[in-house]
Amino acid sequence: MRHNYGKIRVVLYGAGTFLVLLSLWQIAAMTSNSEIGFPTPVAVIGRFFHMLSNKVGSYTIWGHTLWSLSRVVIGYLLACVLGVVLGLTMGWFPYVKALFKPVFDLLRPIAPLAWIPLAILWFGIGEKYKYFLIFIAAFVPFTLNSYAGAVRVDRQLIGAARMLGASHSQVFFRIVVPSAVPSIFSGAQVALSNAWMTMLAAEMVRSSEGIGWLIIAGQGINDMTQMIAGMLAIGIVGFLLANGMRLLERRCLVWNNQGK
Amino acid sequence: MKKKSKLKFQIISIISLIAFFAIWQLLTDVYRVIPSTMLPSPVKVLQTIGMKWSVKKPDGSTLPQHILASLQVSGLGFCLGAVIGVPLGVIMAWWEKADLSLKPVFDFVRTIPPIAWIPIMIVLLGIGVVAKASIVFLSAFIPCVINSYTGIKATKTVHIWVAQTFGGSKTRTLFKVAIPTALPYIFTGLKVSLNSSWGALVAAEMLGSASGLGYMIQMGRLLSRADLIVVGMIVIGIIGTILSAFLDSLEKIVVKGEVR
Amino acid sequence: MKKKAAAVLMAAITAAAASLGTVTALAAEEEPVTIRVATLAQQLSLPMYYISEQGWDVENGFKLEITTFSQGTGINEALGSGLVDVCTIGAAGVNSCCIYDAVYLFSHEDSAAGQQVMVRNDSPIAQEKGYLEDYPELLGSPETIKDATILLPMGTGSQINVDTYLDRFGLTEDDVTLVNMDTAPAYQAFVSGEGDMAHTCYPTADEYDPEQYTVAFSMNTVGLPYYDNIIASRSFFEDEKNHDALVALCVQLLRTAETFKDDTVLMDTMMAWYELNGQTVDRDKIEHQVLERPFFTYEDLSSIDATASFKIMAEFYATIGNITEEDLEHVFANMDDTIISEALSVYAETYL
Repeated sequence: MRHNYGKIRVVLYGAGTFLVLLSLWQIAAMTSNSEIGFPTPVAVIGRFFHMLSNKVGSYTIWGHTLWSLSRVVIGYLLACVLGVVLGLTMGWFPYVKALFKPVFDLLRPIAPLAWIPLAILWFGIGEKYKYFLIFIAAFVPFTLNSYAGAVRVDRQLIGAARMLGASHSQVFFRIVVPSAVPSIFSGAQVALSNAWMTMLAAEMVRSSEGIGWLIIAGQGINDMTQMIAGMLAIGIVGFLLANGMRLLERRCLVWNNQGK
Repeated sequence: MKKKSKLKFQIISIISLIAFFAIWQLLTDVYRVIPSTMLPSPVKVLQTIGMKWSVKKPDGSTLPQHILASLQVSGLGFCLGAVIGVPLGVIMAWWEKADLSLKPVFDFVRTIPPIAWIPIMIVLLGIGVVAKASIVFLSAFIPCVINSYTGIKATKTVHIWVAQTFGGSKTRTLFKVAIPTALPYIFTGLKVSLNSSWGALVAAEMLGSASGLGYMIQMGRLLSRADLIVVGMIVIGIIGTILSAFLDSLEKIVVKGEVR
Repeated sequence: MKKKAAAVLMAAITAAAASLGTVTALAAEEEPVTIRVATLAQQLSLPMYYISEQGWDVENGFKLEITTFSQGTGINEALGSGLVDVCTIGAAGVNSCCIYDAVYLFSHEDSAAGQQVMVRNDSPIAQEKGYLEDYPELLGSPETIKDATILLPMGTGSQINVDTYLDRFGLTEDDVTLVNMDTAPAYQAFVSGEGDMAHTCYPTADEYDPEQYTVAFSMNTVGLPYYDNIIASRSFFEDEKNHDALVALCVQLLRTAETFKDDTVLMDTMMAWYELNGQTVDRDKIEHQVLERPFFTYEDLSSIDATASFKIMAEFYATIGNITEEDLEHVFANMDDTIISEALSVYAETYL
């Protein structure tokens, strides 16, 4: 009963703030005399639902979202595989660390968005440069967190395994890799939001479909409503992605949470 | 024995770095496998840095002018983020009603990457320093809020009880107990925030600029000058590193003793 | 014995190889040469679309494969990485010839109309008209222009336009602030009160409310010829077997220009081209824009110096330091006139 009441309170307060903010926006938009009509929230939400079933450019909003997601997925998975492998091996094998860490540290501070011009020069303006940028954006947190996970392994565990006669590589696969998983997951979370943001930037620079395109196309024709409806779509998908990731983490790391 | 192996790895690291630059130079200037329009050689990059130090052509400003413009935008955005973000996080964590009403809005806003705000920022705030700093602010305030929120929530309930038993009011307890406890967290938040402010710079300068490092690399692309692009990326990387090193040392001074 | 067998074998192989050779040669004659063309969703690429729509390409021994880009910069990069053979491009073509060693074939359209810079009616710049005797239509004076903030897409023809304007008043880029923005965002920023002047072009140019904004100058009033160009990649141009196809393409471009003298055909094609690229436009609204930017016909190209615009742009890039003096020579060397002169004579023989 009490629990239920708590939940209702959460919803009420949340919805209340949203309502207050939206009404402020509505009033501001209605009274604004800017030459470029700033749309009301009602108009934006109306347009958003309109775009769910009507095409903007060549796709509905579903199609655009799928395009954007497919770009993120490709770059992200690539970064996941390479980043985790590089991070774990750097964390465990001193030779690998000595060889790759300096170069990695050299390139790491360059923000993903700063790669945009070079990526376009290298890969042209098709799909490949988008994959590359998303890869860069996700690769750094994956590598860093896998590395940190591998370095922070409980030394006692390793000592115990050694005593029992485990080889260096056995220790790596049986102890280091599993105990780095929670750290990798928090890296995956950061990587996902980085990838999502970079995808948007890449699409805004050049694309003919995707959510980033929706915004830029709206800008091109002075259509503020389309721009903000596009932002709404970005917010919703980003929200779902982040929470989906958290859910996955909770599922996969049941053993880890129980310990706490 | 241990010293010796440490030295060995250091040597490998140095060789690896040298090899990185040597291969880069060989691929570009010496064997011309990669055309200079796609990747300038390290030597060419150094020359361009030397040239850009005092020459305005071809992008309109010298390198120090670009750096100054960028630092101004990022600095202002970061300060706004810290000044608004930290108190917001503290308030949300300390007063339940604030938490209930503001958290959902915050959770939604943070899923929209700053770059998506650019098109409406033009209409809302124009293209001046404030508009650009606002783009930076949007990415800087998020880690500030999250970390101060987590920091305050991490205060041990027992400590609060003790404070209240001795007659501390809610506000007094906040300032005397909770905030000092949260300080290390807040500092981590500021560090992350500084990094993201610098990373959002390129996005902010997509807003329409006349100078700045992000502008410089965009001009490099428009003029097909790969050397300008690489110089911009390197300077962005170096300044990012300097900034985080600076905050690291500041943290050591301010947050004495235990960190987390 | 062995020798004889070897000789027979050799003969057989030679014969087989020879016959194979003729087969491929025959195939080459029948297969039209594919030309990968980079286009923009704008008027300058319209002839390419029309040629391919009418089937004039296959009729004349080549096949167009059209890819549409959003910006000239992107076309440059595609040309540089070998993704396209021929492109329709504006001022950015200078970069193609300079950096990617591409070949300028000819200019096919006068696109100066609509390339203009707006000021607010109450701006001091708008109060000064006729300061320069030679250019009576320009607004402004050195005092009023100095320290102005101008919004424009940098690195394009717009920058040349602005620089020429400044130059007419004895000013340089250092006297003003140039802010890099595409024309649509520049419009939004300008009407929201940012900047003193904003560069624009069609279709955004028509968005400006004439009650509040005036044209300070345009490419026409500063006396800047601005043509769009046909450019080929170096590798495609140098391959002998593409020569005839390139000439044929240019002939068909001339033929299209002649056809486009009929306003209705031109407008119908333009509407179809916009629609194909997912742009909804109002026909009545854009009609004047389209008609103000004519394509060069046989007569035009025989009477005017169509290379002037490209040369001015290249020289301009050299003066502001985008390209070096050495590069400039390189650009001039990459301006070919053999293809177009051959095309002009073929056109005269076939269609006149």
